[in-house]
Amino acid sequence: MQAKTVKAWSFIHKWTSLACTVFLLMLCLTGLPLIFHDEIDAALNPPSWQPENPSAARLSFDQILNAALNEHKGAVPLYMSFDIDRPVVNVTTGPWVGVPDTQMTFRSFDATSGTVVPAADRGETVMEFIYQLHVDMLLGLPGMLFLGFVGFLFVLAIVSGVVLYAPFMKRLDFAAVRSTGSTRLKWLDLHNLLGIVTTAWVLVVGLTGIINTLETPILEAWKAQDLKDLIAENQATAAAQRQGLPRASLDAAIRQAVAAVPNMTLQFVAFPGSSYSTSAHYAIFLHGKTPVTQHIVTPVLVNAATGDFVGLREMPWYSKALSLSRPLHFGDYAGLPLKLIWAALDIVTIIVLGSGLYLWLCKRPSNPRSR
Amino acid sequence: MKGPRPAWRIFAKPSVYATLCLFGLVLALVKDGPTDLLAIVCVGACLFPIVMIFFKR
Repeated sequence: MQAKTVKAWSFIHKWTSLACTVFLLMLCLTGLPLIFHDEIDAALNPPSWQPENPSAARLSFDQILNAALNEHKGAVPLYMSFDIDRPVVNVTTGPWVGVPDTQMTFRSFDATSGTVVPAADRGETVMEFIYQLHVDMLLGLPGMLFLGFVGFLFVLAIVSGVVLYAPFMKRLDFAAVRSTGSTRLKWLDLHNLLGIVTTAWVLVVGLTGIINTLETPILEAWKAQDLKDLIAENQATAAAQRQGLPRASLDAAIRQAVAAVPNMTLQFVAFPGSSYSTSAHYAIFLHGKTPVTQHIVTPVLVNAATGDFVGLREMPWYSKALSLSRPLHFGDYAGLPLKLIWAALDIVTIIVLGSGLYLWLCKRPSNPRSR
Repeated sequence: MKGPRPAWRIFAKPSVYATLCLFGLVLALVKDGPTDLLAIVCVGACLFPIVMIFFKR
């Protein structure tokens, strides 16, 4: 590689890295406790809850929904989801549709009695703060998109780092760390080693992080392109619903949806007006039963006023990419061992970022050959 | 210090770790029973040269 080319790549590596280092350090530090979110929650809030009537039949989804709406008079339902390991149905409500996340209310209900399940409250506020800091720096969509841009700079820094690895390691064996030279030289070798062996992982986490920051535009694009016809057709229904006309049975809607896609199971329900649905439909999200397809969701739309089955709407490729990018970013899809490795790689990334900053802050050696 | 090495030799070992890591990530995603452990070993393989640095000391 010519000296001029090396210089150009060095310029890209230096400035893309410096521009995003502070934000990446924040993302790595906040990401560390988030990897163990489930374990921290379980440790701080030991499971003491038991269903009221363990042997009784589960209440219907309509009964649970009514219990949730009685709990919050005047609220509108937004989402309904289901715990896997206990008979609990979670209902998210808000004062109106389109309400920001911070004004939504999340309540869990005992599916055997309809009573409220006490929320895990210890440490929840701290974890929520860390999560929001990680996702959007508490700035909403602009914060998310900015972090997406930071991710783009990070990917540029990784690619330029890989390109620069060759001229730097031309005369050195793989994993050589020269401890006889200056401290800076030792840290340069460590920076190169830690960076190159974790390249694949940081690229995957970086790229999936970028995709995750595009969640809102992706959902909007899906609604604008794939649900456009339904939204246009159902303006009248939506208007009728706003006037408080009765809702069609949720149980019947879910039964129709599950029957329409027999090889999938229920994941969650998005009510009319929520981000994941139109203004007039229950969007019933089903996911696959196999390890791969469980990350791919398919919404079935049912008219929320008439209960008419509208059809299956396959998510487009970019929504599928979003679904797959979540587990690959969080590393929470293969149990605690993978989480521990994720944490170790996260710490290695912090060292790479810190050593990069140190190398920049330290005075560069006058003789480039000594590098 | 040795003479200059060709690019393919410089990137040979890093490519092995990168391939193992990607293979492990995909394998964990399509996991099915015992492949889980293999996936975790593959992803974790890139930590091996880092651990070896401390042993060399």
